[in-house]
Amino acid sequence: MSQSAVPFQQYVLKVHGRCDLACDHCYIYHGHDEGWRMRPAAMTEETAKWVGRRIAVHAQAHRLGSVLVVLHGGEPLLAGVSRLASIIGALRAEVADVCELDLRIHTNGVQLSEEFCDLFVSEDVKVGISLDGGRAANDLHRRYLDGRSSYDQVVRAINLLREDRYGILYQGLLCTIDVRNDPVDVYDSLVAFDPPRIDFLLPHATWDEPPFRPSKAGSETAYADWLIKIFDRWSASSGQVSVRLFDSIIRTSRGSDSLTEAIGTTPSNLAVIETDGTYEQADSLKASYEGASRTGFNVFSADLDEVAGHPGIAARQGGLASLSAKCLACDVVSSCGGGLYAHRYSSESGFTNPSVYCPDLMKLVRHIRAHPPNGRSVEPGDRHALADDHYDELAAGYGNADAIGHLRDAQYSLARALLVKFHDQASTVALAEAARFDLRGAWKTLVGIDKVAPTAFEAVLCYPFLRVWAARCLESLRSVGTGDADPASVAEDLGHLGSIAVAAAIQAGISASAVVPVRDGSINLPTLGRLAVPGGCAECTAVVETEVGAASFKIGKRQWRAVRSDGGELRFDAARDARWQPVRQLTGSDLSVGLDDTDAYRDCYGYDLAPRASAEQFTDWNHCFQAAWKFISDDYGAYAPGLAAGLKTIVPLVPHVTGREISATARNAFGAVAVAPVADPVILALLLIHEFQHVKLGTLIDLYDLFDPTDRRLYHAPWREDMRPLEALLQGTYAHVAVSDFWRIRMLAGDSGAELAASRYEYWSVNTAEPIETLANSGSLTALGSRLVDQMRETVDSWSR
Amino acid sequence: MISVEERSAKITSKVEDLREVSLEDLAVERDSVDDAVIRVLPDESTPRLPVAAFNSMI
Repeated sequence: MSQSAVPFQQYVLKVHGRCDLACDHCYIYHGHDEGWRMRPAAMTEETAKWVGRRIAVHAQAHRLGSVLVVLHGGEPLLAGVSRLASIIGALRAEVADVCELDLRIHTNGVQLSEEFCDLFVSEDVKVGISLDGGRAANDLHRRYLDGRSSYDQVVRAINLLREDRYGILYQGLLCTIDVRNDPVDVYDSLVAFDPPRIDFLLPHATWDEPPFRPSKAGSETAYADWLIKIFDRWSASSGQVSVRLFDSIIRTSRGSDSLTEAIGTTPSNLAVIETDGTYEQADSLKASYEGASRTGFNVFSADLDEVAGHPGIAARQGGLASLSAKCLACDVVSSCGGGLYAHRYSSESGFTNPSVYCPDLMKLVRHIRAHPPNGRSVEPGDRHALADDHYDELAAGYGNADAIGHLRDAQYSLARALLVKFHDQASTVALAEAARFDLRGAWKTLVGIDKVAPTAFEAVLCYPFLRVWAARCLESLRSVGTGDADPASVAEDLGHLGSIAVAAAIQAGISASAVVPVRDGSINLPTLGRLAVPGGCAECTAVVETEVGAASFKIGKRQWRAVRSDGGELRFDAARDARWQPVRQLTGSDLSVGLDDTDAYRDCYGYDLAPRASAEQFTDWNHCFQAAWKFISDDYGAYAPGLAAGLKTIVPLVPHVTGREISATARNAFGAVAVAPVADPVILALLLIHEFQHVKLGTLIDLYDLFDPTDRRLYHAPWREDMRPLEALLQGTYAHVAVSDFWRIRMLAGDSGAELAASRYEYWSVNTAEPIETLANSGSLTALGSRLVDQMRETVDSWSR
Repeated sequence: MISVEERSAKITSKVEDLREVSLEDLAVERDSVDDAVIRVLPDESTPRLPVAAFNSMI
């Protein structure tokens, strides 16, 4: 079976090949290709089953997590409710066990009824509708064969989708441009229907059959001029509705992917399947010449990998390499990408031409880049980067202080983005339970601290559990209103913003005030500790006020006051009935690490958290840590600098009943590891080294695409009985490079534990080398991922030289 | 689609450096924020948005 470079992930399924409108700009019935006349009007259930099978096999072979299928035509609603239901059922039956099936339907809307909408709700099929603007604009082309307007029927359909019961179906509006229409009128007419998204489509044209252009000066950029008027209006309204073409130009200008095949250099991953099961290339090619979209394959005899090998498909996956010399030399090529493939065609030179809309695309892209909407950047921002040697050092399993410092810097950027995203999402959610927290005030406090005390702000934002909190909130906010989230619990999570704000204010030594949640009898201040308050708390909130060197905590009429010592600790004047539980520091010779048994968001490890350590238990922790750190500093020089630079927090866990060691890392908690107390410093050293490997690799995965995230296969991991996903195998293998190294060095030390160390080294080195090859042969690593695995292999191989 | 990085003296990451951008500016720079957040919280509905639904017309 041949493998396509880019697997098909999007399918246009022609469920009905005829149309009830006779739009004169339609490429199907007014284009070169008359293949529709030879095909059955509607797709059968049997054909749909074959389609589903082919998609499922392709998705499985290429390990796709989801595929998109657009039910299309002709006019797909002409298939009728019953036939559409059977086609959808056939597709789901074949594909459901393999990957997610994202179903859409694109319709002219004139037949849309409650019965159709009920089917689409039950089958989760999103609906897009074609509309060219207001009545006059729409009636220029979108008419019945007898000349009647379709406008009223389409408006009725759109209004049906705008009803609450069907609102989840409403995908957007597609407008084909006619430059004779007034662009602002068209845009305003579309926006009046509150579409989630609008897309503007250039009429299909080629160099052989150029688009209509008004015969007046400047008409060579008539389409750009038309779109620019809309862009300027869209921009002035702060982009109130998503316009795919504009968003794509902004995204591609910044170096991201386009959202549409019409522009950009993203290789096409789209196949079309006709009513009779024949595979075709992009529908738009029908505008080029007779037979341009044909592949000669059908679902009954050919799988999708064969289709992917078709030269026409491969040509559309060529990205920059398939563009003309003129395009490659152009300053806007990263955005326009040569335009839609079909629009490049000429009978003289095929598709190796700029788009027939080249002057329009060039002018439009340049205009948008010169006039980005407020808040939108069209410049690729500075990105975090690792020097080659830092990357390779980390990939080999190590990483010095500089390399770890870069990882931490990147985490700070991510934390800032998460905080802003939290603010954006939390400020728009309607959650009555959150009203008691002054989120706006807390945000303003943080904005101010960021400006006047950036070091204190950074310390709080880089605290390991801030990202845990932010991620939890953002996920919860997606669920608000769905019944999946407990509003009171979500509100407390949101209210934690106040705790972050006053923690930063205390760190900065400035005045601030915030309403904060009281959870499980405690007021939590990240980085600092918690105030355990006895008795009930009817409101479950407290007011924390900070000033230079002091803070007060109020719950109703109860109040506690603390001053901040020179060492930064909070000291309560008389703790009275409350207990301040600070984050205590474990101190090695040249290293201080917080033992955090207080933070409200440290429950991210999947293990039971140890309760607050007593003074004696903390002393035991400290002795063990000091010895472990000396051990690491003396014998593990390749790991010590990285640990010293990056390990900031240890979270104590409840020991396992059997006494076996427990340790864990959370992907969202950079700089922290969780460990159940151990008596042997050697074991603590091993656990710290092991877990910090996960911390490092987690950030590398944040920074770079190391593997194909759509690979859903499970792999054998020698150290586990169950099969593991690719990322987990990579994480485990990377950690076990260090575990093997740990025992190797113990073995070479020749002390009393050398025999045990030798046996463990033998076990782990073998069981690390094997999954390295599994990873290398997975076919799912990117170039950087392969480089990482190569370095890991190099480390393991070096031990036997 | 997965990206392939080129070997170079520096390996540019997918994460924009936002350390020096004020929170207020970030609050209106939704592209920068969204690009970063998607690295932490992948939203399968966001990347590789469907092109097909709006690239063909009836």
